[in-house]
Order: sequence, then structure tokens, then C-alpha cells
Amino acid sequence: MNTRICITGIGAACHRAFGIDALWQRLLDRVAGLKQDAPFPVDHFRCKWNTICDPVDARRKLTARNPEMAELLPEEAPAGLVYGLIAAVEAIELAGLGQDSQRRFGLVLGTTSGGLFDRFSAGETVDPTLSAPHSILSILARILRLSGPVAQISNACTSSAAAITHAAGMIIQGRAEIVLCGGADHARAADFAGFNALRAMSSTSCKPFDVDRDGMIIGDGAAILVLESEASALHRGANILAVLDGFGLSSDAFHSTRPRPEGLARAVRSALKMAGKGLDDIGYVNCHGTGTPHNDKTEIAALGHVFSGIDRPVISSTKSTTGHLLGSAAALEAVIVILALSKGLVPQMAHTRHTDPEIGFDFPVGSHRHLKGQRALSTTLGFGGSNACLAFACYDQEVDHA
Amino acid sequence: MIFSTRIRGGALAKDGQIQNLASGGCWPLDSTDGMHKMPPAVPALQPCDSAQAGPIRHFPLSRVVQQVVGVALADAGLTKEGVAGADTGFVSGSIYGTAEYLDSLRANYEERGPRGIRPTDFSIATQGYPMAALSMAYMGTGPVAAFVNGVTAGFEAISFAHHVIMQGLCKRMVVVGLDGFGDVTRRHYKALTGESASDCIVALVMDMGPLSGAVGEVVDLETGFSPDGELPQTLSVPQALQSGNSHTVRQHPGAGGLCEAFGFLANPYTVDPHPVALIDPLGAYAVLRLQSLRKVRKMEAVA
Repeated sequence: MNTRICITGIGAACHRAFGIDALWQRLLDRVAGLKQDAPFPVDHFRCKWNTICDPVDARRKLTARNPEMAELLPEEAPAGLVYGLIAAVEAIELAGLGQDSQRRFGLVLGTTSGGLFDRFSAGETVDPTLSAPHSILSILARILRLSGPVAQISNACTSSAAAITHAAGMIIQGRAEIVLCGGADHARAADFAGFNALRAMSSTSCKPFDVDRDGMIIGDGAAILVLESEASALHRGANILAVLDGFGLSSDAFHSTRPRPEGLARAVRSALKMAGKGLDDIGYVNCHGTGTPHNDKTEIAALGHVFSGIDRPVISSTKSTTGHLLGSAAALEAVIVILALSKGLVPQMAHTRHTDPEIGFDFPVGSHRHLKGQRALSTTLGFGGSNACLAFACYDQEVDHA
Repeated sequence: MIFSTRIRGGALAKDGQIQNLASGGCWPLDSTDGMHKMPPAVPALQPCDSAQAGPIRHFPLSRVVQQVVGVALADAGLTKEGVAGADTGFVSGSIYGTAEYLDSLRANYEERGPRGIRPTDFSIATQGYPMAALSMAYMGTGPVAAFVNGVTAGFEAISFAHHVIMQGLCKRMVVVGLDGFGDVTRRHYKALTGESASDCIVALVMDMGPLSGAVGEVVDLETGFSPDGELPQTLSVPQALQSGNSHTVRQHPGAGGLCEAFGFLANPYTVDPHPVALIDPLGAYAVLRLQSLRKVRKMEAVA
């Protein structure tokens, strides 16, 4: 990339973690906070464990911290909007943009169905402006008074990775200097039923890469990153948290639910090629790591191809703690990678105890790991065979990108 | 922003007809098979019936998208072998996307509980599935994405296509605008805008390269969001927006922008460069400028 894309703000909202400090602490403490209740009945499902947020609690916390939101937020506001606002407000504050009233910023969200349209089609008397597929995007832009380009991508689990890629594109193309991007999602009963039907959900806990792994845990929430051109960040004197070094997107052209390692390996190689630094200095890969037997096996095979015959990075999945945030998952994991880079630490995985020693990667099991290196990757796979990889690096002002 | 991405060919299906762009053909559509079924006379790249892993599953919208894209790829002069591989990706723009099919899952769940959702139905009920099905049918393993952000989604898809091509993630992108309405989405759109809507699918094949092999060129794109509902005066073509959405865009809110672009490129007598302006009912706006290369070539021939 000729234009350096900096990250100057991050924010997160997920079960038991409204804010990045709470999220990081939860990762260090390995507290998943699994529960067997949700905003919809779960008694009749085979697997009930989840990390789905309480939307009422989220709204209460948002308005307590930001009293002005009580008036701005529509009464029928969808839960995904509330989560998105919590994450966006935090990211904007961290980026030092809170006082900027001329917000010619862009906004790109990744989401799955978000549960919006359900409310309309189920016959509820809901304002149609609050139940369109792009309502969260538009209301978020209106409340935050953003006037730059807006877009929303719905690509199953890779939604927010594609959203971050598109946001980088807006900056590279000169459409905006600053773009808020990430994901906001709200789990629906139909999602819960669908993953149950696929037998992709664990009946106990999410144990990525464990020899005894048996599936994922569904969660929801939001994560937002502030992407900014280096020129803009330096001009504002912003604190640059990390750099988006590269990105890769690919598809398997194979099957709707059976990923193939070749597709993900290609996405990872594209991201690394764009970064232009080979495999040197990559200390960590935050995997999609849903904890299903097939997903984790595919990812390990893909990363094994890419990191063949060299000193391999630490790899982990943080879904054991956060759950799978659907379309927001990639954005939340991007935030976690940036936190890991800034703290030089890879948190120990919750629940994972026994990994296959023949795999040849170092998993943070039994203790946290120091993150050796200045670069890290986040990988994501989605239904339909879509793959994504985001490459992040610590910021070094001296790097010559010419 | 300056784009300079060329359009090699395309196809448009609406109002009971299918039309291709570079070749200029037009045929009636057969409205069977749930929505539309292509007549056998239309030159098209035949999709694979099955991917390596087995039969490609479809619902009516994903099936007709596949057929329209087959016509667009053939119109761009591509062969099946030329499309296969990492050089080709697929991106869509829509206002509701697959919402109608997604809603059928919700309705099944409401009626029958967990047993109402079959695993195969759930896995293809995502907004991105029609593009994923295209990647399987034509074996293109480049980027796949689905924009669902209202009226301007098709133009964001064009911008995405330009971005991933420029960054070397693939060499060509098929940009698809799609509107596949059913009872629920039609009712929602009526409640949102007071307008009626109908089906439309348009596909444009975009890549970088010499303009001599193209029917048109995307010149630039200007987009933004209006928190107060007022359009900014800084736009280079404010008048294009002041007049509001055209009848085509109001009738086909997801595919309408690309449909207008197709109409401009298909008509060799329009004035260049041509702006297509869109206003989303929830606040976004966009102006895309296109250059018809057919007209340029025609003038060169006269000279």
C-alpha cells in the first residue's frame, strides 16, 4: 500500500465487556461468563450456552455514561445500534475526535442480519426507518453526525474484515481522511437455531484448537476502529495505536460451510504481500478459531502452509472468551490484535487445555505469552467460502513507504 | 476521487427482458422457475451445476443472478477458463439483498421452532451467498462481498471493486446490483418511501487495462451522508442530486444506480461524462460519473 493506514481509536462492546479495558481484563482473566439464557427463549435448543449481550443493560450503561444519548437514541432502537454506539463513542474519544464538530468521517459497518428486518416482517409496529437492513448504519451516522461516505457489508463472518478493508479503500481512494469501521451485530433466535441445526455449537464451552473441541459459542456485540491516513493522524497529533499493513480477501469456490485451507492461505499471502515485509517479525496470529473441528483444522493447515519451515508465531482464538460475534467477530478480533501488539502480550486461551503437539504452533495454553515481534495477523472465515486476513503492525514513524 | 476503471461488458434483466451491454442484444425473459429463466438463445457462459464439493444450492434470487452474470461475462468476451481462478471476484449492492429468503427462515422458526430451520437453508441464507454461489459456479476465487446499504450500495460495490483490483487482490470484479422483491420487502419499501418496487438485476464486468477493449469507464465517485437531510453545496454536481432519484432508481432502489449506468453506457448518443445521482431515504447520497467509450470510438471512426 502506498498510503499508510493508521489506527487511532478502538472501541468494543460484548458480553460482560463494555469497553476495551474491560475486554482486555476479561481476556487476561479468561472469564467467558457463559450463560444459558438470552433475549429469546433457548430452552428448546440442544445447545444453550451463549455470550449474547443484555440489550437493556447495554442501553442503561450507554446512557449513564453519555446522558445525551438518552434523547438521541430512538426508543425502539435495535440492540445492534446500542452496541455500535458504545464501541463508536469509545473509539472516537480514544482517537481524540470527540470535540470535532465537522465530522467529514466515513463509516463502514459489517453485520449479518442484525435482527432489524425481523421486527418489521414479524408484524411488529416498528418505524420502517428503524427496521431497514441498513438502519443501524444510518442511525449511527446520524447520531454521531458523520457526513463522509457510508457503507455496510454483509458477508457472514467475514463482514467486518471486509468492512475494514473497504474503509482502508475509502482513505486510499481519497474519499475520506478518517473512517470509522468495524461491526455491530445482534444475535437472533433464527441464528441460534441455524448454528444448532448445523451442529456447530458446543454443549459445554468453546475450546479452540483443543483435541476435544466440540463447537462454538454464539455471542454478539460491536467493535469499532478509527482508520486514518498517516498524514491526517500526524497533522492532528493523534496517538497512533497501530498500522493496518495489509489485507487479503479470497473465496474457496468450494462449499457453503466446508472451508478449504488453500483459500485462507491465499488471503494471508495477499495481506503479507501487500505489507511487503514477508513473514519476518510476525509474533501472533489471532485466528477465526470457532472451536468446530473442521474450522480449526482448516486454519491450522492454511497457516502451516504459509509459515512453513520458519520460526512460527503464537496463534490463538479469543472466541473461547468472547464467543462468536457473528459479523462483528473480525472487528473485535482486530481490536484484540491491536491491544496485544500495544501490550506485547498474547492472553492465554480460556477452556483450551490439550492441543495436538504435532501441529507445530505455540498456543497460549497454561500461561499468557509474550508477543515477540512488531506485527500480527487476524484471520477470518465465513459461510460461502469467504476468507479474510488483516495484517497489523506497531507504528514506526521512521518507516519509509515510498 | 478519480477512478479510471474500465467496464468491459454487462447484462441487465428487468421488465421481462434481458439485455447485454457490449453486444447490444435484447431478448424476452421467461418468467418461470420462481423468477426469471433465461431463454436458451442468449449467449452466456454456462455456470457449473456443481462445485467440487457437490451441487450448488440456490434459491430463486441466487439462481437468476447466476444467469445474468453468465450473460455479462460472455458479453465481456470472457471464456470459462478465463474467469476461473484468483483473478476474478464478485461483489453485489442491494437495498434488501436476500432479506426475503432470510425472512422465510424466521417465519419457519416462528412456526415450527428449531426444527423449522434446516442446516442447508441456514448456511445459504446470508446476504453474501448469491456472490459466493457465483464464485462456485464460475470458479472465481477472488474477493467476494455483498453491500447492503440502501440505494447507494451498488456504487459502493463499484468503489470496492476498484479498490481490490488496485491493491492486487484480483484482476477483474463482477459488480452486481440486485433487487429481488417479495411480499415482505415490497411492503417495507412502500412503508419506507411510499413507492412501489420491482425486480431488477444488473451485472457489470470491471477491470483495469487499455480502454480500447471497453464499453465504458468509471471516472469518479462522490459520496457522503447527510445527518440533517440537507445536501451539501460543495458537491461538484449538486443539480444532479437536487432533482432527486429517477423513476428507475425509485422503482429498483437496490439495482437502480447500476441500472442507470447500464442505460447510459448502452446508449451511444448520450452526453459524456454522465453523472448518475442517488439519494438514499435514510441519508446517504452518491454521484457517479461515467464515460461512454462507445461514443469516443464512434467519433474517432468519423474523424
